[in-house]
Amino acid sequence: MPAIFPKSSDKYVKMAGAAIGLLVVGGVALYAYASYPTVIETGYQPKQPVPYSHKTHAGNLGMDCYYCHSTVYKAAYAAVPATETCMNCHTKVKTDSPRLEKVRQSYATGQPIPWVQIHKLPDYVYFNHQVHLSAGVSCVSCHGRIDQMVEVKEEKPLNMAWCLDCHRNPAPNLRPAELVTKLDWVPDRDPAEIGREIIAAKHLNPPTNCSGCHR
Amino acid sequence: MKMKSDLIQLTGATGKKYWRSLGELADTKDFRNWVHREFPEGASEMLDSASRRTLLKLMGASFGLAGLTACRRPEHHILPMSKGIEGYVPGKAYYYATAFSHAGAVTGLVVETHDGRPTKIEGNPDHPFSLGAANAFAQASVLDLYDPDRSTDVLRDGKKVTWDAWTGAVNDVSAKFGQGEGLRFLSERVTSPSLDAVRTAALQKYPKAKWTEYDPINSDQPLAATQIAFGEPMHAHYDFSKADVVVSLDSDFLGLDTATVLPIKQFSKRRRVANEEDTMNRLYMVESQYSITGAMADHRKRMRTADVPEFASQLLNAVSGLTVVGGDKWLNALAKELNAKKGKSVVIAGPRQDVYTHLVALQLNELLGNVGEMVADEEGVVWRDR
Repeated sequence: MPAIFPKSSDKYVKMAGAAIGLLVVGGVALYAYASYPTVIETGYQPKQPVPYSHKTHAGNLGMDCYYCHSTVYKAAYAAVPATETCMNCHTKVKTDSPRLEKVRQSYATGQPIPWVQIHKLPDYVYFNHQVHLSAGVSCVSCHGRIDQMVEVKEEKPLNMAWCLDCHRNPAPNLRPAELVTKLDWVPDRDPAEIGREIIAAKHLNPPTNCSGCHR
Repeated sequence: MKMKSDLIQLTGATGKKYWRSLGELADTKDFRNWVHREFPEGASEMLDSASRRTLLKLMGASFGLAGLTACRRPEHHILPMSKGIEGYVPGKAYYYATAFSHAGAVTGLVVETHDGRPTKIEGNPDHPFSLGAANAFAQASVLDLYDPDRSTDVLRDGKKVTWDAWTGAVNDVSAKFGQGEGLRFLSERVTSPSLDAVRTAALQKYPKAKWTEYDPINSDQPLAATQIAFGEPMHAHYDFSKADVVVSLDSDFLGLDTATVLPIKQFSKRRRVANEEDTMNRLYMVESQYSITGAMADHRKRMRTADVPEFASQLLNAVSGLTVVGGDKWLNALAKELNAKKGKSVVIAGPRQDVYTHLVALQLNELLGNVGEMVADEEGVVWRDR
């Protein structure tokens, strides 16, 4: 009985096998890459209901972060300011700008402005702004140069490995607590050395056990 | 013929009509349907093989499609207030002191709130009736606030109206009453000073009106008993922490019948033995049903509720040293122990007992020298009601 397939077809079977194998490995690799927090989270920049520019307010005008995010040093949450806070100035400045229409509306009707959340941790993670600020971790360490962003985007991955990097070696990210909102602060000597001094002075011991954050 | 048999059924119906749910009382179509079905909807569906297959199909499909929703990051919003509240920090728990009235007794509570929503209730440690603890009713009362049956709007004839309509209606109605002839107020028992002030003001405005209090869980019987004994209705304050012997005549004072928090604290204090001098109290319980107090009792006697008054008078006789007709070993032992611990016992009767039992309990306390020592608090024997 003659063979149904010629001998040369063996070659194609082997090639097909290799192709399927490559496809599987490639698929897994692509999935792993695409779902990694640095890829999927970093760079998230949704459109906000009001085109508020952090660069104008915090950068050019030099307003302190605390002016609007006023509860950040005394609570776990860094609260987004009430519409009232915007209107403290905007009853005098740019009172008829069309870009501020929604702010004026919110102030008149009492309805909140639906800001879109950018930096979001999962519900199973406990994070407290207050303790980080009083330890001397600057806003810039987690949020980047917000004062240079016209539209805020997520700059850091906010994944667990990234949190742990700092919890294991916090020294480079520490500065005197009164300087945490100075986003453009440049240390005059080795930042790690300053960090070590702060750790010693404040007896800092960031948790690296699971229940530190997953409580 | 059909009509006749219905009539026979109706004429045969005598006595009170009992019902087990609001649906049964209203005899709604849904309720009839529910009774007819035997099993609730959905529970009997599964017996049908075709619909079970449909369910599995749907489950499979929804599992399969569930993955698709993760393709985009969902947009979460942060909604700050339009006008801020001074000193308010979002995300921080705030604690408020309040009071909870149940069965005419008030317990001081502390309510934890998150962003304006009450989430947890605990006892107020500074309140003498709570001392930091709260009972199951108080704990559960936070759910009342989220009850879907709770009205969120002003309703008139079942239709939503504005607050102005309410004010207008109240003004209209109040103008009609004049001196208050034929006007009756119905309220729960007034234990709050604010509501008491409202009552006083209302009765001043309408002198001929009447204010009636009603509570499904009440202390009418002990009040009636003290009315007979002392000439005015009074509330007894028992101090179980000083009692060596506690006799409960059908009173679940550790469970449901009183503001349980303080009795439990006082009672359990005497159950703890920390050193050689400490002694334990002893609890005798006479009841018709199983209760928490009955479960705690050292000696429990089961007895029909209707037989408890007789038992009470037998006990009174035995304590007084009279011959007891029909008394048993249990009763005699109890009488002996009560006599041995004069002034160090409490006899308490429960709300299911009639005035007679409460009177006997009062007399027993009096006879054993408990009143003013055991049964009272420092401020006086009992405090006046109303």
